[in-house]
Amino acid sequence: MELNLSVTSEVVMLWVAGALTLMALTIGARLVARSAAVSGRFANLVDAMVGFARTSIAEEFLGEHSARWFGFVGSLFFFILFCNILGKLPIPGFETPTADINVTGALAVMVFVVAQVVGMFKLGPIGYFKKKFLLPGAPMLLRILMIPIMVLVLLAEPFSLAVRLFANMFAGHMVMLTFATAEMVGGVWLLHHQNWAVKSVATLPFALTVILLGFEFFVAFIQAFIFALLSALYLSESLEEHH
Amino acid sequence: MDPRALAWLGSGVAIGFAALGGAIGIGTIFARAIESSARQPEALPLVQRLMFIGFALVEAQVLYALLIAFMLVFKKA
Repeated sequence: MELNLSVTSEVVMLWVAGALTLMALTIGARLVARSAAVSGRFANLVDAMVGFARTSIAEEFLGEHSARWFGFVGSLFFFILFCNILGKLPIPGFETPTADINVTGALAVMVFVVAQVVGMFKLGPIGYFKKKFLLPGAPMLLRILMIPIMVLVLLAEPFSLAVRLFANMFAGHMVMLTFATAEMVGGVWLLHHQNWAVKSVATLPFALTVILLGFEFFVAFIQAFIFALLSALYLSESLEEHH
Repeated sequence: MDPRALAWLGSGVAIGFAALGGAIGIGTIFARAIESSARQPEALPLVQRLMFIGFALVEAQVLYALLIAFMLVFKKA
């Protein structure tokens, strides 16, 4: 099987999201650093978002390691947030890269590998496997019997991380597509009706699509937050010396 | 009966029951979180943290069912 590395529209969208993350955060940081008192709307927004990510993701879960790992977790948060929002903007050709299982799978595998490697550096390979695969405080026989289950539990972490983000983004698009199709097919047909009351029903799918779009922005934010939060949680599990 | 039809039926049943369970779970989690943070506002950071972990864990089960539903819908033959 040959590895296909052709540049698809989703890859371009990933580049756009990365560039937007870099630009928004660097420009915001410059603006915040330049003037502490009066900094304008954009700088305030970036300041508030970074502060939110720092306090409620990094410091909440990583504790003493937060200063060191905030770069990783915060970048994940902002990158996924931009990825999620891109496809929701009404710009032709824009789509959500995170609505593809390959993108979310790659992100989840990256988080998984980082967490495991960090844990191995911290405790040494033997101590690490002992911590991850042997149930603490159980008889020896039970510990050996539990090893396959512990492996499954460990592998479920990146799997659920990838599937959660993918399914939320994909399902949101599907629901909006369904309502938009209802508008285009049923709504246009209803518009040709004689009665005004029936005609007004045609606006209903459109209104629902608009409301759903607002909800989708909220979901995009929440999912980016949860992805970064769970990454921080898995990292902190590896960083801690003991349970 | 056509196997495709059965697969579609199964996907609908799967995601329906999964959504039912997920709704109960997420509803309970948020209700308890609101309740406990109203009783003890100073415990809000801890409650919020545990709430989001619980939310993510419950949601994961629903998403597994969603994955099964997709597999059934896009099943060949």
